[in-house]
Amino acid sequence: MSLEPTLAKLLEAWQDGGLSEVQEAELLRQLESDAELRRRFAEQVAMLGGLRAAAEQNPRWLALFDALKQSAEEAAATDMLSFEYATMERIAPTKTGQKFPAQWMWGAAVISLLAGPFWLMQRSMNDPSKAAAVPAVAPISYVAVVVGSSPEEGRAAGTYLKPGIISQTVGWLTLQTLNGVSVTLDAPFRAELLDHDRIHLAQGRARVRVPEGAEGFRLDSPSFEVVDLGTEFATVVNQDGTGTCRVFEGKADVSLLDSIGEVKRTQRLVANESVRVTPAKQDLRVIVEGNGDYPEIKRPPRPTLSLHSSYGQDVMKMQPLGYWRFEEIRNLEVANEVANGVPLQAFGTAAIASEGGGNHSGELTRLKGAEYFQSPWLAASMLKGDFSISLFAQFEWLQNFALFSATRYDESIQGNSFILQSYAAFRRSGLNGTGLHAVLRDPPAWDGGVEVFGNTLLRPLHWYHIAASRRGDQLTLYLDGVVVGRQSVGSMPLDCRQIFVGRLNGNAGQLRLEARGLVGHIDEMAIFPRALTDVEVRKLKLTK
Amino acid sequence: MMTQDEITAVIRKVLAGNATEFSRLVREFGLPVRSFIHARVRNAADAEDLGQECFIAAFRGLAKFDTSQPFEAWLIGIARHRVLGYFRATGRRHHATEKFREECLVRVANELQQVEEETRHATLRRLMDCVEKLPERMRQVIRARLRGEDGSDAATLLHSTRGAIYMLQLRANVHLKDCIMKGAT
Repeated sequence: MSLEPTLAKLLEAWQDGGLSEVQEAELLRQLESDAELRRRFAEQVAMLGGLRAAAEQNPRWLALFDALKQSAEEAAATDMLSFEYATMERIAPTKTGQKFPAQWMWGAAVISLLAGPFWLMQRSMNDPSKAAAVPAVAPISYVAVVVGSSPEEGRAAGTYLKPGIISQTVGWLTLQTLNGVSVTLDAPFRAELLDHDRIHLAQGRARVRVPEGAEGFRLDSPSFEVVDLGTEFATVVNQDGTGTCRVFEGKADVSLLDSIGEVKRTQRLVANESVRVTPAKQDLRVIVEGNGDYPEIKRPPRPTLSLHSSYGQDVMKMQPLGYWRFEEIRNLEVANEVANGVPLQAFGTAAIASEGGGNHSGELTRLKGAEYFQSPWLAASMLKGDFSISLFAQFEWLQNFALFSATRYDESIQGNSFILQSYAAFRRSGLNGTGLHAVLRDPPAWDGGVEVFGNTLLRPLHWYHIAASRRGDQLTLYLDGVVVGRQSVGSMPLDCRQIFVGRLNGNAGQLRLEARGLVGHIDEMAIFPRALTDVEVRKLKLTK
Repeated sequence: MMTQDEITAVIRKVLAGNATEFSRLVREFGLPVRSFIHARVRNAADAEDLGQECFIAAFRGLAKFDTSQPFEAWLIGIARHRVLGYFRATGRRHHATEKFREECLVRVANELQQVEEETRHATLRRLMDCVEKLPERMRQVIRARLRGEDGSDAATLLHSTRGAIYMLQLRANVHLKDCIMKGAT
């Protein structure tokens, strides 16, 4: 008799449960008595583990980093004239002639090796060389960023928040956790930011929108908790511990907690369903209600990108290989300003947005399926040897978004040769912070390669000028004309003949999460067949 | 793949005070150690935490490692210890599914160890490439599971039945094992 039905049942119980005790006992009995079943089930379990591990290629292990860093600092402290220290000092002397802080030196070494961006680099916004040379850094442990607040409270948009208590007596506050979850809190509220995927609401009203990739976000209160399963939900927590929760889209699990926080009962809600929780009666029940008393997600209007009238001409004077202004989509294409240059094809719900003053941008915010721009296969290479990429980007929220990717055509090997993307802390990583990230891989691949991190703190709903420039074996990342990352990447030839804007290399059938599809706007993208200087990049950043 | 000599050289550097060298070992052995933990621990965030704890413990206890022995086996030993500790610590709040999983693990412990030793030498890094090579329907199931959807969700999404989803997943996993083993030869 085939073992497959039994194995499938085992797999079901192993992953999702839901079988009766009798069924489970029978499966365990069969497992005990059948060696072949044990072997094949073990193969399944091992593969499930491997898949889960491999799906998360770069775990961000902050505590491990801290342990290595601390140890390195101790070593440096006892041997200040070590070879490494002297070498680092020669490589990057400060302008003031001060010795490089050992702390930074070791931190930088660990960052490059662990490929983990853990530092906030304080930098001058006007002098790129200063930004690279003054490594005033501090460890960061941010979990959220303020998107907007009511005038009476006046928290500045872009303020990063660490774990801790937040409360207001009037107005509202909208924040985004660093895996893209938007939360609006209506006053009076008292809450504690616990992590990028967890908020404790002691009292108040909250609306939560969880994007793809951040599922599992948890909002708990003294008497119940809500675990998101890919949704938008809202909740009210009253002073006496009672409360309600309503799901607007997707679904969520609401669990009644006992006095020590143990889950007593769970109710799964789908769109337009609500529950009321009464802790005194240990009661959790479905209720019928409207959307009435729940807050909306509030956010400030999206800023537009204003360019001076000669911006396009200035870019063209720098002789780009390709320059796409995203002024319109005609015949499903975005025109290339360079004569005889290839247009970008618009896919899915990719659109054009007005930026005011006659300017427009590429809009990838519809969330209704595939949306990106892509070049056709090119006869000549777009990225080869020295090159530079310049673009403006605005993020709706902060997640790992591919702004630009390029690949070499190869039947047998697929993947990406070059990626320019944003990173943000995400669910399983444990790392906080955001920034830019470039990867070079030759031959193209789905993972591995040489990485350069641009350590900075991005914010949503803000226009950034972003550039990457390769000169010889060095790749430099710029944010708003300032160097935020520079590293040796070796001598990979690349030879890229297809480019994607707003996603990784792939096809329209891929999910946004897999493609790291940008949710935001993009504008004025130019590729140059040479390394731009710092001054040239700064010029490209200038708008008005 | 690092040779035993290379591993020994890295360990010596770390023990001599060059802590940053340890990250080479994290890169080399991170995936098999995390796979080992993910196979046993259902909660993904807990599994990642345990993976990190495992490497921190290895870093702090590196002086105790006998370099004539396989480093990976030593790391897996630490991971096993951590996972057992995790089960002990979380036992009181386990629900039925967790108990069933632990019962299963007890019964297939030897077989699981054997399979993991076989596949560890294959390159797990190829796994996501292998997922891309799966037939479309199998690929969709694997993707849905990796997104955290349960059998019912995946069945709804793929207009299929719950039973068919598990059967597809079962066969996909067999394909994947063949794929990574092929890559290892």
